[in-house]
Amino acid sequence: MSTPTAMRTGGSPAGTPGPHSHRLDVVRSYATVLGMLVALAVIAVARPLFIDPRNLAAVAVDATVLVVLAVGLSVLMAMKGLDLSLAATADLAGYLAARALLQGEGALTAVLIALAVGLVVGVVNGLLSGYLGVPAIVATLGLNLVLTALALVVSDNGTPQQLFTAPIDLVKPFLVFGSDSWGPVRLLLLAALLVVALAWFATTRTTWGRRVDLVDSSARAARLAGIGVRSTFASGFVVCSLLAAGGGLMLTARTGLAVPGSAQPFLLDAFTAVYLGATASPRGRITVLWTVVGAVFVTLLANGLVLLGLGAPWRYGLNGGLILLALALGVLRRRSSR
Amino acid sequence: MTELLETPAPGAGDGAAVAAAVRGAVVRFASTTVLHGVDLELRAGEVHALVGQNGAGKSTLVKALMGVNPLAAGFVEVGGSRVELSGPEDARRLGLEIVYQDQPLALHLTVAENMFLGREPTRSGLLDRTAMRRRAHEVLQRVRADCLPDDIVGDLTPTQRVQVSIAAALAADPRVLVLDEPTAALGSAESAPVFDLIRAARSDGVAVLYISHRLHEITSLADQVTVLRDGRRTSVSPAAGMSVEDLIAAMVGRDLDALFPDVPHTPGDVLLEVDGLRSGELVRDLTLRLRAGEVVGLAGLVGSGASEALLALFGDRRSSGSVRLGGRETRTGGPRAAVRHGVALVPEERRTEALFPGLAVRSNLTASSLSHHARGGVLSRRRETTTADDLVQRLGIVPASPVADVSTLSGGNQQKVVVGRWLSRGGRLYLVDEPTAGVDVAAKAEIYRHLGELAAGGAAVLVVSSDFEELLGLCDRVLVVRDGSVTDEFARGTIDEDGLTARAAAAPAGSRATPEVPVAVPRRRTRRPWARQIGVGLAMIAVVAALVAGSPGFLLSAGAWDVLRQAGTPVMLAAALTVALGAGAFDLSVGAVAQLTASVSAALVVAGVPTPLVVLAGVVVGAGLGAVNGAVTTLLRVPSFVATLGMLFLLVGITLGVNGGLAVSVERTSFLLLGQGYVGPVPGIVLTSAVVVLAVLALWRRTRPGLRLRAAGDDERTSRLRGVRTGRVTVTALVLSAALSGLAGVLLASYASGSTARDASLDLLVSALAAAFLGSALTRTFLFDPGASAVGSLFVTVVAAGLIANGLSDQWLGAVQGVVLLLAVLVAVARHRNLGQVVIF
Repeated sequence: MSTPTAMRTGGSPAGTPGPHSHRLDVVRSYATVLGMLVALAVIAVARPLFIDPRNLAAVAVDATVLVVLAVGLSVLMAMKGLDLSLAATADLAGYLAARALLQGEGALTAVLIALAVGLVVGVVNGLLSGYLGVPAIVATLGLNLVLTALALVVSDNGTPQQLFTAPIDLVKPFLVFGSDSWGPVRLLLLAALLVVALAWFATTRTTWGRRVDLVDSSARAARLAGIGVRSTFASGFVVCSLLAAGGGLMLTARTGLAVPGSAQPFLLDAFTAVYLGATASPRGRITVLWTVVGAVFVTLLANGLVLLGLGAPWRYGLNGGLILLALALGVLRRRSSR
Repeated sequence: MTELLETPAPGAGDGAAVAAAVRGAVVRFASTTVLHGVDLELRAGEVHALVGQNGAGKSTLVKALMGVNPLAAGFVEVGGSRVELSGPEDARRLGLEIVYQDQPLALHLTVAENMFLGREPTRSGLLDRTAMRRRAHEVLQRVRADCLPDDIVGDLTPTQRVQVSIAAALAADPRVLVLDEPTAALGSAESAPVFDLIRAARSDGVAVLYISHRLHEITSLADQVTVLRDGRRTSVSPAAGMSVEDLIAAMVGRDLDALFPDVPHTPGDVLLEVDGLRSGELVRDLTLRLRAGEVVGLAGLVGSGASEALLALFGDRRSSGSVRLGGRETRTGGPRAAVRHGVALVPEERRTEALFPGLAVRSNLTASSLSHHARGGVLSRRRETTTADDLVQRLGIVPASPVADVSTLSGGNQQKVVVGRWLSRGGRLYLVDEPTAGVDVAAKAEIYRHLGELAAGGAAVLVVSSDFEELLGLCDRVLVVRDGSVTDEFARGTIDEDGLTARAAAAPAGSRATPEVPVAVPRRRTRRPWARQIGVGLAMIAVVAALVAGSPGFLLSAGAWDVLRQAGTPVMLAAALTVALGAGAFDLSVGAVAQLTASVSAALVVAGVPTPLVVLAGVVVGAGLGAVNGAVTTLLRVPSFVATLGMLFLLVGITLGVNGGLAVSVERTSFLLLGQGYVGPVPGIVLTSAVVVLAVLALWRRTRPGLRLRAAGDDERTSRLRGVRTGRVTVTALVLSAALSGLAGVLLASYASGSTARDASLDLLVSALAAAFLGSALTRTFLFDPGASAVGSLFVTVVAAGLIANGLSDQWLGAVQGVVLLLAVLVAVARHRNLGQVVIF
């Protein structure tokens, strides 16, 4: 029985890098969260209005659309997928739903149309990337252009669909969803919370969530372990596109207006949210809840920039810079764990 | 006769100069010591063999000599003086050449290009291709290789590739030539030319270090033999008078019986019947029977098809033939179906094919039996923990914690986790490939015991191993696999390791099969690409013809110049992107760079800056941004596509900042002439972009940096081993691509009389991507090439113009580009159908 002892001595040195890299993980995680808090504190000092409860409540409602889009993206990115078409999907879904509503099709049909758009886009992306082997970035980039063109064509070059000027009985359910509250809580916020809760449960407590983890860790090993790798990977695109469609619906309901292109800024925001969330998370992984943290921070930052009088270029620039920063920190971690 | 370490090295007094030596080498990985103070002396005009079992430290020692593995103690000596090697380039500079086991060659480059990669002769800035060809020809003749300097390496037979690898090393006139199992993939008939070559090198005064598993080769070829065991030198002696038995005794040196615990098991009914299994080029007509409760080994050399046969049986490789498990046909359906039928696979490459690094031991153990640990799709943590605790205890996994990250375990414990994964599911047939590669001796014995217990429990176990001693100790029967089929069968105790090696390496009895291979392979490889190339080309012509038929005016007569004018900047952008793609870097920021420099140049013109300075500014801004891309990619080791995606977003913001969200229109004639002027009937922009594309093409195909860019894109590892600094190559590619994009942006501003407010970064990018992938589908081996991309870009532009001329609304233009991109990429990826995953961090 001396053999297990021999192995133990062999096993323990290999384990030593663990705690070491873990310590760096913690530093990086704290540093990121601290950095976020400092940035927000600076804005709060410069513009006290920033932390006024009414402003924060408005930001919370503002953040709902981004939270839903970013959570969808995070599920996909958690297995090394990517969706550059999610903003275009949200646009098209929101637009078609609004048009259906104005044509008197009823709220349920409108919602179903939006979800159908999400489903179709997700299935096409999933087929291209999961089954046919097109790199996710190329597949969704191509589809992004197709969807953008489609939105331009169906909207006759971007004619908006205005819900608030329409007869109230046609559009009432949407406007109620977009602006009413349940007790003190806005319905939009409830919807976002529901999405987050479901996504959290699905990714951490179900066999599907585990399959996502396995595909992320090693697609080859997952295949040889008998996991349906292609279907799992494709399902991520479907989830992402469905949530993008949901986000499009929420955007239309909130603004009472559907214009192609209005969801485009959310693409970059969603990426920043996912990357920042992963960088801030204790283990440096993409998770649903930390993505929510990232999304809320991005929304707060955008709101703060507006209060500071800084326009769209700043927003783009800062987001791009934040992604690069998150990458640099993420790489720091990877290097140390090597 | 083996001589012991204490006695002085033989031959020390015979005068041959020590060409290179390793003294007292100690190598540690993390905190595991792999080499414990090993000495090695290589003399000019001598073949020195290095033998030892798997994991004895042969490769580690060689890499230490070549400066790849840093030494924790000891040093390397070349030509009698101590040297510090910081990498393979240093070793090469001192005249140390190595030919690796898997012969890394860039498959899409020519023989001559491969031979001179890393030390290309140049004349007045261009590659001296005549000199390359002449010298390559000389060396190839010297080694009597039957291929030409201009052959594409991918078309060569395995023997020819080995010859090219060795010829490439000899072309440098080395002092020391290291050959790391050069014949591993060859049959003995195919190996003969390689031995001639080694003898020739020896008589030229080269010191050869020869590593091989085939002991017969060594006794007939080598002058000196060093034997390694467990990271120590156990003997060094002249090869003359040494028998294969002596070598084995020095290599093994331990009690084999203790290693293979006797687990009694009795074979039952036939469980697996394989008839005429064929898969790919390696598995040809494999037939075998396997009983329940039996451990059977497949003994084959690298390339024999044994490993591939396991993957085919598991459904991971496409195959034909009949596979019946328990009487039912089970060949089709892939790994998932195989697992459902009770088949389990322990793959060869533990790290990349079996483990889920970053996940807990528990998740690794339950990965194949998720549904047993869940109800209605919801995981039961309790059940998982019970299973994991039980397996950790049963298998003696250390550390005994199911929540530890599996990648922190030692190799042996990792392998136990992989075996445990299938125990938690329970299977009838276990396919085990290299069960103990990189596993320490103690864990080996345990793994053998578990495999024995599986058979005792009534399962059938099929083991593939390159360690024949392992097969002989472990298996009830051993089947020899040669050229993709089972050629011999031996029951336990009827053959020894040496005999098995001889059987596995023997030339086929018919002796016909082998010579057929070299002829058949290249022919099959070259015929199909032509069909595809022509198919894609014809499809493109058909599309253009249809568009012309619908509206002849747009391409015929004066319309043609118009289309060419439109193509001016897209062609340049496509060439820019191709330089990055061809060098293995994904540059998503080309469109955004062009968009930015368009805005910047418009603003500069409005501000009164002279036109030449405006052009210069565009190129410089582009190059600067490319340098940032390159720095982020190489210094932070971020995947290039992520770095350039971040850059894309950043630039969209900066562009907005520059133009304030407004279109800027330009009226200065000297600037507008760049994009709108004419030279005779020819639009100036067409000339400019033709000149730029031709320049890029010349750089790409005719210069040293161009060759290195192509090589790095083709095979990064090979290029690095040849001393090409791949980081620098990536930076060069990204700087070039961004500088060209910057120039394209300036022309865009001139062509459009200013910059637009609408952000077209993505449209520009997609059209360049579509062009690059279309272009690659037009080349024989799916290479990215600036010339081919220019053709692709012309096509994309013609299609867009043609569709507009046929009455399509220009709202659809983006969609058309998106669809063309998807189709082009589909042609390129259709063969592999890998998962479309992208590296995100």
